[in-house]
Amino acid sequence: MDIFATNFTALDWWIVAVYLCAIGALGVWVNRYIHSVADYLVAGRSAGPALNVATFVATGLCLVTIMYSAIDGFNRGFAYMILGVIGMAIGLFIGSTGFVVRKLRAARLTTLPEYFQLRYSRRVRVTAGVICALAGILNMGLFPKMGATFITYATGLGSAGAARAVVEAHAPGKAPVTKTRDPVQGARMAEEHMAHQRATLARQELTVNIVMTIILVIVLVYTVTGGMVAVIVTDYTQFVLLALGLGLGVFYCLTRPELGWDKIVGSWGKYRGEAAFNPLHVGSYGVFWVAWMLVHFAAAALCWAPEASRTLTARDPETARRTFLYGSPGQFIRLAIPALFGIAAFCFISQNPELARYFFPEGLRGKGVHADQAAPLLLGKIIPAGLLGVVLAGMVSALMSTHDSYFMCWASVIARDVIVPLRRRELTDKEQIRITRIVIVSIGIFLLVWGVWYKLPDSVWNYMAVTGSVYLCGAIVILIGGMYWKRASSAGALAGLLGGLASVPIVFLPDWFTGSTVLMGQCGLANYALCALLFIVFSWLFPDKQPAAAPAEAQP
Amino acid sequence: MIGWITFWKWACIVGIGSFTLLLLSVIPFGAADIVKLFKHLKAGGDRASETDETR
Repeated sequence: MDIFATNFTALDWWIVAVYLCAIGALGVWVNRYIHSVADYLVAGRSAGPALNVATFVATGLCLVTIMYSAIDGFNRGFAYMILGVIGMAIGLFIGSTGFVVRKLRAARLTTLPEYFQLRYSRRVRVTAGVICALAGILNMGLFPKMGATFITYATGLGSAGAARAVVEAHAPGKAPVTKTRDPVQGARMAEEHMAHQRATLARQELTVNIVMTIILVIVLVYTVTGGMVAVIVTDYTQFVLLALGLGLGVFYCLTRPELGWDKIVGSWGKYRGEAAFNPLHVGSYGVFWVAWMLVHFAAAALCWAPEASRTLTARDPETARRTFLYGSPGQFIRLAIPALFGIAAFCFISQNPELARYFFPEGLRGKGVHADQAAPLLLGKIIPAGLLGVVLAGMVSALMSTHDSYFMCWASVIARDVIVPLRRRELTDKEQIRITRIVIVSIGIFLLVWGVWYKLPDSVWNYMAVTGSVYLCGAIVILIGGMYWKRASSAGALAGLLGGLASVPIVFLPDWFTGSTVLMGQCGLANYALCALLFIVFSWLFPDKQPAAAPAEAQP
Repeated sequence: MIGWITFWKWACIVGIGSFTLLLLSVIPFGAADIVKLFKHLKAGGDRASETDETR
């Protein structure tokens, strides 16, 4: 039996291919509705509440979200779901109070750094734009690789002789393919075996890269031509398909005879004990990490450009508030359901000795390896052919809906908050759209070159959180400070923003550091505190000569 | 540990339940919003072309 074989068939490939073509064509078709830069960048600021909620959830629910949640679910169990609870609680808080988002929408902005120019100065806007784009593109760099891994193992592309050889190599006390007494011949056979294994893996990698290139090209085509209108319309269709895919995954995880809630809970309780359920437990994430995530999620909801742009695309301030309120269950679903796939994968693997040997060479109580392959493999094995195509189309939707939103956000930030303010003359709408399109294509090329061939770190979520911190730590401090503290100054805002760069070196630290939730939690919290301190101290020491007027609260 | 298991069970029930309700409302209303969005953008386009012709 090939342990990497899945139920994916030609019919499933057809389902995915038809979906991809349809979504690409739809994106190109909506280009006829683009008449101004506001239409292109924020869909004319006319998205209704239901549509805004759909795109808000679809943007947050990327394939990379599914992957890092499934990885942490597989490694840490139910404790990871605390992130879903935090996300939902923050959504409910912002949605019920309108904290920050109402004021932002009322200011009729196109990007968040624009607010920084209105409240502070042009220099703060450009600095925020540069740091925001740097953090965002760095953060996005892992997306193609994670997407490729999912597609590989859910479709059975990972199924090959090489995979079996890897399992055999992991088996304790089992020498691979040297069934001869002649040492020279044995060495040659082992060498041939290794060469065959390398060639197979290279073929798999090439296939994955081709698939990823096709997806990226489709996303680029409809994002470049249709702008935010295309992003919103395709996000809506992707939201529907994505929900269907997740629903099918949950259904099969909870109804398959070898899985089900009681068996899943029982297997985690048996092998991992309380640490699998209690996120504050010493053997789990710990208090510091959970506190860091609480702050981080609040900052991301308000300042992370792809999510924040949903505030700006809303029809009016009330719609912006309701987007967060109604979208809050989506915050739980986007993190908890993929984690449930990883959690169920652990239970599934614990019942299969061959799989258990591959994923847990030190035993089921020890550290797991290849965690990124577990959840997609599980879905590929428990969902029947035909439906698997729908699920994969949903997952590819997740990949595309986040890619398009991220492309639009980072490109519009670079174009409007870095390039335009640095030019001496005002640019026409057509020039701004052309620059945005060029930047989108440039980011796409960067992702193809860097992202697809980048080596994944051990803890993908921590990498994502740290790259996000580069911008979020400073941005959230100066955003809230700018709105609710009259003494906030441009010097304080610049110092606060630059303080976020303290997170950059963490990206390059080895896995023993970035994989430690205690150290990461402490560093993460310390960086937010540093930015707040710099902001307050510099604002007191260097107040603005002429206090900036609060951004006009224009009518929607 | 039993307390946490019960907590996660109810968190999943509440989370999935509320998301299902969200889906049932967002799918039809979202489609209606798309139609409104296109009408709004089309009206904006018509106004822009009228302005160009006036000039």
